[in-house]
Amino acid sequence: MTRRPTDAQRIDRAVSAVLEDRPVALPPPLADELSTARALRADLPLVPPGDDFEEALALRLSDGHTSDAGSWVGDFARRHHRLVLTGAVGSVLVSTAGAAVFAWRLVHRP
Amino acid sequence: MPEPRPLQRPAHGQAPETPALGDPDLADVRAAQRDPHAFDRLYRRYLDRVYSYAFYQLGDHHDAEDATERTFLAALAAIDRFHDDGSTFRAWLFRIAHNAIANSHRARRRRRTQPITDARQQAAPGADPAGVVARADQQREIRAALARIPADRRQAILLRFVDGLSAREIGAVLDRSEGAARVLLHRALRDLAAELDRGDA
Repeated sequence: MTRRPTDAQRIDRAVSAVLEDRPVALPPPLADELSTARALRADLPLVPPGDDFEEALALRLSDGHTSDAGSWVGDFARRHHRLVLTGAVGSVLVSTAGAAVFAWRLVHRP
Repeated sequence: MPEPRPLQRPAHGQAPETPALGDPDLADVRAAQRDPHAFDRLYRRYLDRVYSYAFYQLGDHHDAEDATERTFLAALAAIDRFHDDGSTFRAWLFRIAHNAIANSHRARRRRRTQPITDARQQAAPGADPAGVVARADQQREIRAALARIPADRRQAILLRFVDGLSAREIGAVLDRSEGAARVLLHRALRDLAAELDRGDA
């Protein structure tokens, strides 16, 4: 004896038919759901992202940036890296200038 | 972000109601496991679908981009741990997306921002302007009705209609059995039909 399909199974099969553009019909108790499925098929399109985003993410993936924590970690790390570099260069310049002033004052002591 | 769990068997330990279909992505997954650069094929194949899944739930392009980025970065990081014993790569990927979107919802609640609800749609060149407007109205109406139904029903609709997942795969993403996923989809369609009727009225 074969079991009669449940309403959920019938709807699921009908949805598969709608998604594959095959003809399908259901009796009145389920006709509203089928008509909604057809509306969704027609008016719920894929929304593609922008091209810039697609290529930027492709680049990150190919570079192997796979931190689970998300992009802000990478951005922070890059910013932080720049800050450290700027700080180090600045510090060397200030130290050199200070040493030069000190040396000049030693030479030109009254 | 939570660790993406390998999908090894149907939810609740039940036997699947339909036999496992071959995973069409398996060869590309194996290639990506050997060489991460091969992940690009999977990325290009699923980018629009993952992005759309995020956009329809978050209603904001910036948040959708963020969730999409997190999804693919996490998927690439975890690709070695994907096993094809029971579900498909796309169900595994959408489970990661599901978690990323849940995180975005939590972050948004902290920021208290309002989503923008316009979809980034462009009319085909030469399209009838009246038809374009009518189509845009229908799409807006459906998105508004989707926003009014419970989140798990909305997710089932998006996974089925936008992303093309089967009931079995939807069950794997939402941690339910295949039968429960079918019932969820049926209820979602019923709710949505009622919401659309209410909108018409």
